[in-house]
Amino acid sequence: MLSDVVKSIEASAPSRHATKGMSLSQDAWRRLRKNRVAMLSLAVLVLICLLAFLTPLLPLQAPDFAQTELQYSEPLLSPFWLHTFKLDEQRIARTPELVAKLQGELGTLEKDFAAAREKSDEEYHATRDALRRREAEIQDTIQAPYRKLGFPNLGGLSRWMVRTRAALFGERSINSLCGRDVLGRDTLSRLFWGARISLLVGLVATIVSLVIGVTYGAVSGYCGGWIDDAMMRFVDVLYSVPFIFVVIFLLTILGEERIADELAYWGIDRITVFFIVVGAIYWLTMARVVRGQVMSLKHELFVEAARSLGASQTRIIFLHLMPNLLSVVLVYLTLTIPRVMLFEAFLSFLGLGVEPPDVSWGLLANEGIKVITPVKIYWWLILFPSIALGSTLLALNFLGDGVRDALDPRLRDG
Amino acid sequence: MIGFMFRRLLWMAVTLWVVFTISFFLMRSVPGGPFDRERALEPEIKKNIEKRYNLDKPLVQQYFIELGNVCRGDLGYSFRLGDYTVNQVIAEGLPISVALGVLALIFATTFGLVAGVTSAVFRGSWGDVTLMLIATLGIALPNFVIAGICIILFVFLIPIFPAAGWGDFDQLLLPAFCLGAPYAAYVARIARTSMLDVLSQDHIRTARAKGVGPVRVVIVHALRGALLPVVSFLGPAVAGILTGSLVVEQIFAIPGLGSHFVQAALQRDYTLAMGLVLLYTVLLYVMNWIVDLSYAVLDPRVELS
Repeated sequence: MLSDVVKSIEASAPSRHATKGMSLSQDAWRRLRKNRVAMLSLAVLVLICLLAFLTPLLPLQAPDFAQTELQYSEPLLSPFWLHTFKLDEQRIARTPELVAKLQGELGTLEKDFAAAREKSDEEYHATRDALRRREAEIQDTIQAPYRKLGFPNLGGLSRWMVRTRAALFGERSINSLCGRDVLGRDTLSRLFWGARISLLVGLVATIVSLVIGVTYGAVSGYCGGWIDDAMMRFVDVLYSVPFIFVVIFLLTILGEERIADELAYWGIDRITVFFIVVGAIYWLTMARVVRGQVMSLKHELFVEAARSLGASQTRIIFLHLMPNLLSVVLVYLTLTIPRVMLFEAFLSFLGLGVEPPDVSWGLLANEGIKVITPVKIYWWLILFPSIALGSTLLALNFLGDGVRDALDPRLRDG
Repeated sequence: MIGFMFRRLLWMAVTLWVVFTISFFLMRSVPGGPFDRERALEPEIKKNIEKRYNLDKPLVQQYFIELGNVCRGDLGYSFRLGDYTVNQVIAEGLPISVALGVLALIFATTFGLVAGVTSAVFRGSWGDVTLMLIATLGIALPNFVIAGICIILFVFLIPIFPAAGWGDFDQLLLPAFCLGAPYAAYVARIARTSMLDVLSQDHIRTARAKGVGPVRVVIVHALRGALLPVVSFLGPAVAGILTGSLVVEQIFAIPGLGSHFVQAALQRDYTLAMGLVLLYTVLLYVMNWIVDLSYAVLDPRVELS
C-alpha cells in the first residue's frame, strides 16, 4: 500500500535525473576535492602508506644490519648502489622441511600439555614452558635467514616481498643517503621500517579508541536518564586525571617481566598492549561528541517515524542513527590519528613505547637527540626522522581540517 | 560561589582517591618490589626493608596506612632513590618545573595572542597566511622535533644558547620556547577566530563610527571579548605543558619533576611515580579551577555551577 504511494510519487516526479540529489558523502567529496591543500595532503599520505607497505620490496639495506666500522658515517650520494645484500636462498628453501619436523614435535607436546592441565601446577608450568620454547624454535628457524641479514621478525607477506626483492634487484641496495647511526645502521631504511610501525600504531589505536568511544557515547546518549548521568560523570572524572602519566604508569607495570610473560602467553605482545592502552585514552572526546549527536537525533521525526512503523531498537540504532553519526565520527577520526601518532612518538621518545628491534619514528628521533654532545652533532640522525614525522603529521592535520570543513561546515574553527 | 568551590574540592578528592586506589592495587599486584635486585637479600635486611615500606602487614591494612599517610601529605619513601622521601624529591623538583612551565605558558599566551590578533586584524594578507601556516606547523610537530631543530640551529649553527643544563636564565629560554611553541600555535589560532568573531559585531562598528582609533578599537573594545576562548583553552594548555615537560626536561637535562617521573617509570620506582601522578592531578585540578574563576571575572554573564 505504502510502496504503491511511493511509486506513484516517484513516477510523477518530473525529470528525475535532472534533479538527482547528492548524497552527503558525494557532496563532501566534491567539497574536499576543491580544497587543494587537503588533496595534496591526501596524495602525500597515500604515497607514504604505499611506500611503508611496500618497504620489504624496495632495494633498501636491512634496518638492523649493524656495521660498527661505518659508525656515524655522513649521508652519501655516491656510489648509489651497494652490493651487500646476500639472501641465503638455499637455507630458505630448506626451512619448510625443518619446520614440518618441528611441527610434528609440537603436536605431541600439545597433547602432553592438554594432559598436564589436569595434573599438578608444577607440571603444567613445565610443559607450558617446553611448548613455548618449541614454538619459539619454529619461529627462529623461519626467521633465521632473514634475521642474519638484519631484518626484524617478518610476517609471511613481508618474507615473500623480501624474496621477490632479492629476485628483482639481486645484491643491490641503496647506499646510506641519510647517513648511519651509532651501530652503522642505515638511517634511510630505518625510516622506512619505522613508518610501518608509526602508521600502524596511529591506525589501530585510533580504531580502538573509535570502537570504545562510539559504543560508550551511543549507549549513554540512547539510554539517557541516570545511566547517562553516571556514565558522563565517569568521563568527567577521567578528563581531569592527567592521563598520560597514568598510562606511563600502566605501561611500566604491564612491562614488568613476569606480567609481560603471562601476557605473551595469551598472545598479547608489547605492541598490542600499546595499541590498547593508547586507544583507551583517546576515546573520551569521541564519547562526548557521539553522545551529544545521539541525544539530539533520537528525538528527530525520522526516528519516531521508524519507531511507529515498527522498526526494532537495533534497526533504529544501526540503520537510522549510525549513518547520521558517520560524519562526526569521520571528522574526529581524521583529527585523532595525528594525535595518536604524536603520542606514540612521544612515548617511544621517552623509551616507554616501541622497543628494539622494532623501530618507530619517535624512537629514531630519540636516538638522534641522545647522541648530541657538546663537541659534535650528528644532524642527519635528528633531521631526517623529524622531517618524516613532521611531514606526515602536517599532512594528516591538513587533511583532517579539510575533511572537517567538507563534512560539517558548522564545526569550522571550532 | 562557595558552593562551586566546595563541589570542585569534593570532586578533586574523589578523583584523587580513585587514582590512588587503582594505582595502589596495581602496584601491589606486580611481582617484585623495592628489594627486587639481582642478588637475593639476607632475610634480616629484607625484613627491615619490608618494615620500612609497610610490606609486612596484610594488604588491606597497608592500604589504609598508605591512604592515611597520603591524606596527611606524606607520600612515603622512594623505592629507588635510597634515602629520599617522595616529598623531598618533589620539594627539589617542583620549583624547577614550575619556573619552566610558567615561562612556557607566558610565552605561549603572549606570542599566541599577538600573532592571533595581528592575523585577525590583517585578515587575508600575506602576514595572516604565513602566521597561520606557522601555527599549523607548530601544532603538527611534536615538541621534541622542535627541540631537536632548535638545538641544531641555535646551539650548533648559531651558538647563542647553551645546549643543556640548569641554573642560568639563558639555559631556561630555549627549553621554555620548545615547551610553549605548540600552545602558542593553538592560542594563535583560537585568538584569531574569536577576534574575527568579535570584530564583526555591532558594538565594534559603533565604536568605529564614533571615531575611535583602530588601535584603541582592537585593544580596548575587542580584546576583552576575544580573550574568553583563549582563557578557556588555558586549562588544556596547562595539562599539555605538564606533559610536554617530560620530554623537554629529558632533552635539555633539566632536573625537574618531569625527568624524575620518566626515570621513576623506567626504573619501576612505584612510590615516586604514584606520588607524582597524584601531584599532577592536584595541579591540573587547581589550574582548571583558576581558569574557571578567571572566566567568571572576564565575563560577568557566566555563572559558576
